[in-house]
Amino acid sequence: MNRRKFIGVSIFSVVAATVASIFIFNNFETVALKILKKDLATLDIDEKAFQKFIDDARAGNYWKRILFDKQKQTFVFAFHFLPKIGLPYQFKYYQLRGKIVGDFLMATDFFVNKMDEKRRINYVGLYDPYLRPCQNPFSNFVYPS
Amino acid sequence: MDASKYDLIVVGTSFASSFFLKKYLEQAPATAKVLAIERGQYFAYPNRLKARRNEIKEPADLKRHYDTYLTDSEKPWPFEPNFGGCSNCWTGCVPRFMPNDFAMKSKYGIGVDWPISYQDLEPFYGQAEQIMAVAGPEITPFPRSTTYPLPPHALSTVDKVMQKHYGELYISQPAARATQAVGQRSACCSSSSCDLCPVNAKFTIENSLKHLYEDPRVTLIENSQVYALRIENNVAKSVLVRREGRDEEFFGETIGLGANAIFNAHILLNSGDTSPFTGSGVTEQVGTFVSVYLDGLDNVGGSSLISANGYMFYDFADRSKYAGCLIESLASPYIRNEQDKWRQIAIFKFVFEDLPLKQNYVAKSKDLLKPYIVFEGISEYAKEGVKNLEANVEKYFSVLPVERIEFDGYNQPTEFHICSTTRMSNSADEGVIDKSLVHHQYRNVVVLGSGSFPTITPANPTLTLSALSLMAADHYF
Repeated sequence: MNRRKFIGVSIFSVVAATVASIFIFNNFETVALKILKKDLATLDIDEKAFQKFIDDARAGNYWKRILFDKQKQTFVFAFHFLPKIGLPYQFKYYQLRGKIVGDFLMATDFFVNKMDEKRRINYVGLYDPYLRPCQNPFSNFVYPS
Repeated sequence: MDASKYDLIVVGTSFASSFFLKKYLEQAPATAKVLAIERGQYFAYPNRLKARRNEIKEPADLKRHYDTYLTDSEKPWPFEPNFGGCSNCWTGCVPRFMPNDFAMKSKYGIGVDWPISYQDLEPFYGQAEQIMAVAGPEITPFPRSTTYPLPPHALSTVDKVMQKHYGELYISQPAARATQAVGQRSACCSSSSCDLCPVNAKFTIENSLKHLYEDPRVTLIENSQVYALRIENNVAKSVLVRREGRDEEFFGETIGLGANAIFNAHILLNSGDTSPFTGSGVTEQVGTFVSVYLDGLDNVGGSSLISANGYMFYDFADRSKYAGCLIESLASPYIRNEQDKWRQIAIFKFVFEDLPLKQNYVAKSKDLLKPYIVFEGISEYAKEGVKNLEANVEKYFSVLPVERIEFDGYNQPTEFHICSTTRMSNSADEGVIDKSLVHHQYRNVVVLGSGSFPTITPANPTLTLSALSLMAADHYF
């Protein structure tokens, strides 16, 4: 094997190992956890709440229930590791990312406390209008005219 | 075979049939005999809630729409094939059509004119709104001779800015989602899960008209699919039914078909209806979402899932060139993923009308019980409407403090409406049924529902088809 070929094979091996390790050590849940920790880093939240949310979502079949199906999960997972600039449907990735963050915050008392970023944010439980109806934190009940 | 003869047989138990039946029973004698035939089963609301909460399983034999028809197209045609039909899963949006919707050909050179006008239907709109206990605003872009039974849903902060600029063209959405407790229904509390309302605020056949099917004059049979009419000398003598694997026949004086636009057409085709319009032109609206990112304005205070409707480019000058659009303002809990700006976002849905096209149709298949649906695509008229969306949004939403606008760029697979397969017309040369929804050829068959629309509009069809049922019964009996 000549030197050029050796370098090519080495680079390919490193890239392949990196991509493989991404798939081995990550899945949608781990990606969702990373997103929550990063995007909500400035808020006062116990980090255990993030894992609790992920665990509750899995136990309650939450993602399927809210139609955040396997296709969307795969999309978020794949897109998370790609460079973000210039890719098509980039906005869709950020929308879905926002959905994950929003659903976590809906599972806390953040919106009920009118989005006060100075308060400690407590985990309450998955937003489920069939268990706790009438809890839309943006409705006229919370913001009457 | 049940040789007894009914005065009226109604097929289906959704809006079209139930509003027709209601009007009929109000004037029918105590000795009247009615047979109501439902292809699915009664799955009571409390059990639907329990199933949603995973406390029980749905019945294994509950009918599913995707098992009921055949197609090679990717386009889905969802509906609820059980007692109460789509009232079990609809959102409860009940704007009226606009007067010009009934005269698209005369006004805009598009499609055809309906054989009735808005004014012909207006009294029945008022009656349907009373029955549904609709919550709506004082001022609307469509004329009304009656007031809404319930006060309107609250506008959000964003809606209020829009209404200030556009007046009667931007209103609280008329909704069959109660703003106050009424009958068996609670007041809506904006849970935004309207497909199955957690508090039973939304009008359904079950919570508001089930008593019709318990009337001593009415016999209801479930799990029975009507697949054809027996026609003799252009008179429908009976309905042919598949029930528990056996074929049965029921005789009736008058037949009211309310089996939805797909199955009404299919039943007629199976019955030997050779009108070129029967089954032709199956269509529905085209919807797409847009997110408006706001600068310094929190979008809060709206009530219900959809707090407002915008009409700025619904019935407008360019409607002769491209499809009109109804705007829906979403008040559900969504956020913007940015610190300090969590709710500085408004999501709108833009719902465009489409045209019934010959290349989209319902046909028979080898399976007597299953129609075959061909759908080759939406019209150029609708596509042009979507193409002009960006320019219209930039124009009409500039009154908001906009940071940026994000267009989804793709259409939703379905708007959950099925229309135009048995269109009404003045003559049999132009349609399937007359202006009272009676079949041109079979004069004792009333073909109900949104299949009767010769053109569709951007507005949701349910209130209009319900009003048409009231009108049809009023004319026929």
